[in-house]
Amino acid sequence: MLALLASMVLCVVALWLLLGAAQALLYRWLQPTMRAIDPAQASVLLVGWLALAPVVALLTAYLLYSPDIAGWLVAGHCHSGQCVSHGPRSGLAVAPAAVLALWALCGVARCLWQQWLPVRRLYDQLTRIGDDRGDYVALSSALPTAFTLGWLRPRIFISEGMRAACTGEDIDCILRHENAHRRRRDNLRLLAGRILTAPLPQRLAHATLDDLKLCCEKACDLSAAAALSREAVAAALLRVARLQQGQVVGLAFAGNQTQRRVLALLEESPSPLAGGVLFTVASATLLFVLALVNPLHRAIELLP
Amino acid sequence: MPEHRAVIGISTVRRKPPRPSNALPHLGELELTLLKLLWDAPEQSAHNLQQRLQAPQDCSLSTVQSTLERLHRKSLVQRDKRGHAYVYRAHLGRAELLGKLLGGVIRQLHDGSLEPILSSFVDFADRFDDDTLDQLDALVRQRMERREEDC
Repeated sequence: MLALLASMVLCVVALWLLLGAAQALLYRWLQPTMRAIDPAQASVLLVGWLALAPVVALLTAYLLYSPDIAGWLVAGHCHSGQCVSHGPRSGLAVAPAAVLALWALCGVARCLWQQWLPVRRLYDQLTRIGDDRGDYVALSSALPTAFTLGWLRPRIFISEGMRAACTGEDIDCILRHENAHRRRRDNLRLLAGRILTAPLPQRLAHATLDDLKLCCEKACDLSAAAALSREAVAAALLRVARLQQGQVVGLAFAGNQTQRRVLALLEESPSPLAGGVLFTVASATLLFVLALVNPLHRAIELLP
Repeated sequence: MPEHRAVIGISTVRRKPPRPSNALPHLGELELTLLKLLWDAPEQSAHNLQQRLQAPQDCSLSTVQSTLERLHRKSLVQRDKRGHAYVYRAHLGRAELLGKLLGGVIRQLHDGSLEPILSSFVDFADRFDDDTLDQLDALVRQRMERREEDC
């Protein structure tokens, strides 16, 4: 029983890690497409892409260890004269399964610890100290900041410094952009992305997670631009960027997502990916999983 | 590739960020409530504060005293002994505390010691130079002028 359970766990976690690493390497070919299509659709597809490794791992394990289904997918063979349908097992799987499962669990736990606790603390403190204005929480601070915080019930926070330094049109733009984040539950989407890649070395998943964040921002920019104009949103972004410039000195970690967002707003509207392409990708994934079952069954049984 | 992408080269500057942690200043529910009471009416004794606490936060005098002691250790309240009791007042105003809290979060997001936990209108981790901002501003102005001409 232990050998069967360990073989199952080993199959799920090892496949998750291997497929995740392969996906991270393959992403460089997918990246231009993701950056070229409609950002709202791209943000959904990217979460799907990140979920692919654990979902394929779980689905494959289900097919491998479900006797009725495995009977169709695995070539018939016998063990010690017994020829019934069975899940593959190996006594050698216990130790690696324990190590890999612990690695994956530690990765997920670390991710939750680094995300959940600071958000809960900050959310509680800011909502208590701030002034609830219905649409948003006003923060009586001179620092020019505007952001959305929280996973399930996100709230918008805008500082007095931001309100004082921006025009009414800029504040309208900021509120529309942040409301789009709130509506789309983008913080939860990004958290899901980080949890799905938590067992992988973070350097591997960095490009995909960065693009997921960029797509969420671009989708919210377009949502604000639908009510105002693309140029108004781009101008508001640049004004806020100038305000925030110089707030913190001695940067060690710098990105350029705002620059990309402004340029994206000045380009033509990106079009969504055709349904046919998505259907083809989903079908290919399913075929890949089905084709994986027989060799994987043999590989596990080849372990001493 | 659109022409303006060639005009403004996008470059990413990344250095190894410090190890992320979840270290944020933490103030409990009662600590924040007591601070708010002190902001509304400075110079109060622990007994006064305990009487002003409303359900569901009403608690014993010793709980209020130990919470004030914690706030004093965190340098968030100051106290003077008057007779047998301490009189407390907030050391930081509401705006100062918020500024400190937000400033800390922004700094940690900037240097990578805090994982990105919020969606800000302009990413705190973004860095710009004046030339880039000026070029982008010029592009936006051009687009606005062209749009007005088209109209």
